[in-house]
Amino acid sequence: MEWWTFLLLIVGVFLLLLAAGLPVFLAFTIVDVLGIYFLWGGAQGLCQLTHSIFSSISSFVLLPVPLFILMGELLFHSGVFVRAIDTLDKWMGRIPGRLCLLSVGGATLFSTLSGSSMGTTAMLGSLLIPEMEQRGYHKTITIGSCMSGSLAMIIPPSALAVVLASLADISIGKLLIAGFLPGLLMAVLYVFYIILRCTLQPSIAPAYTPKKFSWSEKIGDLVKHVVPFGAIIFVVTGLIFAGLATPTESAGMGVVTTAILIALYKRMNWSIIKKSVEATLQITVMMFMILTGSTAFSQILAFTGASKGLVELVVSFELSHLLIVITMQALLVILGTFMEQVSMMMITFPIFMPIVRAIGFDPIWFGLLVLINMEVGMKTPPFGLCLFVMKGVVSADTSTMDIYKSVSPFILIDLVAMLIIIFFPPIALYLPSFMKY
Amino acid sequence: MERKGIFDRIIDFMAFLAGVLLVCTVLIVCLEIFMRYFVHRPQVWSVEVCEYFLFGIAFFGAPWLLKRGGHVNVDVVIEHMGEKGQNYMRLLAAATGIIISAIICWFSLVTSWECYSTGVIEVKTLSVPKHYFLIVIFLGYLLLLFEFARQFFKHLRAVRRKE
Repeated sequence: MEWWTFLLLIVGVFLLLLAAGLPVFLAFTIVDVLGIYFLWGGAQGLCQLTHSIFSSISSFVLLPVPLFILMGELLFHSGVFVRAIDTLDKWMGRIPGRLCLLSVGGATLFSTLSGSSMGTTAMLGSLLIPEMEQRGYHKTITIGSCMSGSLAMIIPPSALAVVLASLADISIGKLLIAGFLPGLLMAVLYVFYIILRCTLQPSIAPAYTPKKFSWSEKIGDLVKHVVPFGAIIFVVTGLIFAGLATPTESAGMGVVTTAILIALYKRMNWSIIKKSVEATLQITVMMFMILTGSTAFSQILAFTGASKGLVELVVSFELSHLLIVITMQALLVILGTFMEQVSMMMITFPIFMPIVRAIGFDPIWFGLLVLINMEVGMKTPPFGLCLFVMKGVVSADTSTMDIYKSVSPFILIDLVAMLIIIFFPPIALYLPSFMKY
Repeated sequence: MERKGIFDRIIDFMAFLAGVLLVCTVLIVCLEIFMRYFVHRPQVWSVEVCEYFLFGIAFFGAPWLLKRGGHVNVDVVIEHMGEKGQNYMRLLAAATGIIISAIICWFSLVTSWECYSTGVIEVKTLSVPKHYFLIVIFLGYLLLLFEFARQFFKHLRAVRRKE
């Protein structure tokens, strides 16, 4: 059989199983079992599969994943970040779309502390949407702005960046740090959009005069409720950037610093620990069970010659290299509308990464673009995990269509940010260029 | 409150173990940092033990997550089907789950036995018999098999009720 027949068969069967509503991890395992049985000599091959399941996830590089998620969950369940948002609120003046900007600011700050988009989105949505509605803000702007919680995936620490780097075999520390400036760029673009939209269409975010606070109160609150989070940012992002700690070490210290901070705010108790561990387990187990099939899956693609064949085909095209990258990203955007992030990476990376290396692009830059793409995938209907999270926290009269409408401009902004980074790679690569590892 | 059967208790206990492993992982990573930077006595075993814990977390937690419907799936297509169609698709998904779990169960058991009888050892800094890990895959998939079976019969009842 030709390599492309194998490729079509493997991807086709996988998509069919997904469409049938099977859990993603099961769909991968089925493709692995079938592929291995028919390609690697039956039963003996299946014995090898069990070894490959073990080696896929017993890997030290994946260790920061649960720890980054746990940090965010602890902050979310303890509610200590609510005061930080209150403080940001006090500092903001009378600007168009004030509460929406507050949600973008809160999301950006929380993203520097949390590794999971879903927790951040849930927190912002449940915290700010009721007040926005009370102030007469329209759904077209409120939901989308709270969805900026998905920035947590790009701004370090990011659990998904760790998975991405491990699957793409690139430096985890560099990819994490590479997300910092692009994440800020996206936040700034969101801010511009919100101000522009609310200035042109003031009815969607009625202006109101916020309560005035004295400077001493504002500064006092800032020192008490925002500055302490700097310790977490320092321990996690700072130490990785300075090359003083590995991502795993900084993630471990991040969890402990977070726990100490919550204890100092007198919010730590067993129920918070239990809820946070439970929520972390949910996301971690979901991701890791999908990853159990990863080694075998990429080996099957390599064994059939599908990876090599496709790489040779793409490289032989007389296309500009940049166009190839844009095409790959466009494909990921399409996959992202119906697929979950880890599985998207698992089926595309065995093919994409060799192409990126063959045409001489920086894999960190490419990895970062994919990360933004994953963030877009969290928000694109019908299968965006953040959309489901948002549906769970908005008022009952909000339809799924309302959520889609509100989030679409933000998806466009993300795509614009991707294009900017495609044409100006230093936005992603400037900070990692200072790092040795 | 719904009464918990023995199977639920086992699944919940495994998830509890996964939670304990998660907390232990955090503690081990921090202990290692402390020992390395402050006592200058790095613990060689810590990296490896954490790797094994990660593996344990996934397989101990998987049946619990399946029970809670937490394993992500794509329901865009089946959402457009009628109720009957949806029930059939769920039945099919559970049946497939049973078959695949049974296959992985069997082969992990066979491989565990082979590794046990030939004395295969996972050698890194620590030397751990390989069958310890493979038996965890067996156990995880065995519980997944039971959970898929339970879901299969639940959906089967739903299909029969509709008919």
